[in-house]
Amino acid sequence: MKPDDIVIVGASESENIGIVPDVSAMGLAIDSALRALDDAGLTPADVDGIAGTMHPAELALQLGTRPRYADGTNVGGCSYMLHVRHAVAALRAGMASVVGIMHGESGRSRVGVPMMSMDMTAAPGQFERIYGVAGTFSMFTLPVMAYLNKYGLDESALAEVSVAQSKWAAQQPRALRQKIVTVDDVLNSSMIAWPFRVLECCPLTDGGGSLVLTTASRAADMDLKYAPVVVAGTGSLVEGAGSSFMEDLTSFRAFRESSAEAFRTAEMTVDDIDHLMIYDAYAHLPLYGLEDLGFVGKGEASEFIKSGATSPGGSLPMNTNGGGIMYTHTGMYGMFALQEAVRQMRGTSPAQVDGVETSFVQGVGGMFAAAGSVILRKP
Amino acid sequence: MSGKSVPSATPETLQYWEHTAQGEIWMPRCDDHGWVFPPRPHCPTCGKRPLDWKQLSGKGRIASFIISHRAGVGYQDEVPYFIIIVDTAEGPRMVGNLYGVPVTPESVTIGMPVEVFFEDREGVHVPQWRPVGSTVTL
Repeated sequence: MKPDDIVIVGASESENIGIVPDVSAMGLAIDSALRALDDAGLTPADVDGIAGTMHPAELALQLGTRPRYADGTNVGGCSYMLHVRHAVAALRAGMASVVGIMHGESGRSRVGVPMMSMDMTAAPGQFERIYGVAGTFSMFTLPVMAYLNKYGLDESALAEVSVAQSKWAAQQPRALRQKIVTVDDVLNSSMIAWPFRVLECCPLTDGGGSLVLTTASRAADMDLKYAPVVVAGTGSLVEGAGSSFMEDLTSFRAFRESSAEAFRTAEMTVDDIDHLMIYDAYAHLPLYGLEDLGFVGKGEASEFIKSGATSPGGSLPMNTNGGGIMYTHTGMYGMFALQEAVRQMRGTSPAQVDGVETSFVQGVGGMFAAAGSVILRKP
Repeated sequence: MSGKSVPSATPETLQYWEHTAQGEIWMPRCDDHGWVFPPRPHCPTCGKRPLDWKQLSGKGRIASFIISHRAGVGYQDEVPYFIIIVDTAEGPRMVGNLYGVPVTPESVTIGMPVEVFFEDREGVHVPQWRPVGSTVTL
């Protein structure tokens, strides 16, 4: 085991998530940051390192700090996994002593959000999005038929993902979708981008979430509400923009390499993992993730999920907040996967799994453009 | 005027769009490491530059697809419609729409042969795909 040198001492979502029309994106981020700092008895003035996908200078001003470390990495929804990874390095190097990682998005209500524009000169703009791509649902999803065809699977393989996750969401009072659904419910829900139905696609929501990281020695002097959660290992890989430019349409290289590095740095294997979060903007991602991380063999993920292994009572509880599809998806969901993993390590999740000591959090960003992995464990 | 998105060429991709205006697909090619797509002025494997551009046959096979039930910009009159990934005969993978077959999942199989045709969008000619032998145009 690695020394418990870098720990999470603060973690919180914003007071409200889902549909929050009265708070801006920045307001959601700051609300969650103040709550996360409160976990450790800290104030904004204690924060000397910040990270987020919003402009670091604006984040610093709004929070009220003058950080000596700033990380504005933005590779899509897994950026927060990369922020954790970078914060670990910064804290070890002495570049900061308390790092706040902040997320806020008003994805649904669009309060305090600049107009979206599509870059028609970038590679996806010139060669992918011109073909009637109306949203991530018709581009992030595009490789899936290559996967289903390769393994002789049908549409129900995707539906099983939503069915399993709905059983967790039913235990989560803050989940946007809390109803337990069947394969038929999923397949009969409205078509978005065949083979994806609406219950296999994330809803668009508002929300904030923040983490506070520090060194174990600094944490020992803090008045903590919860036992610190150890960042045991991290990994990341940027594969490059564009789902059609993936090396292999049936397996995501960035999932494979990012997770392998996280396992290596944590000195763990899949056998050491008790709890799993795989970023699920769409229902195919847990299938790719389970296989690419090495939890199951190629083509076996859907059968594994159907068996109940990832559902309540199963051997590998996965996406226990209900996932991005059921819980919330502000646009960059990665922070919420991290939040649920921290809750499971603290023992505070509404869908708490007994006896979990470790959690693997796998993010994806930019529609198969990048991946980030974080392994957490109890001290 | 459909109002569909018009790709905005950069100096590095201009040759690609000049060739499509002639009804052909050309891409940069490294003698040692093959085709370079999306077009870049150097080989992403060895860094060699400049690269010669070579013509592709315009034939390929469907590698993956979805059927969009929500309209993208300018596609209001086409819903639902195919978005496909094509493995070209030469290797590079391209995205496009599929025309010339009923828009149902049963119309398409992975590996189905297709050929390119071109859609004029405000003078920019965008590659599109149809089954081999089809004469559909836009």
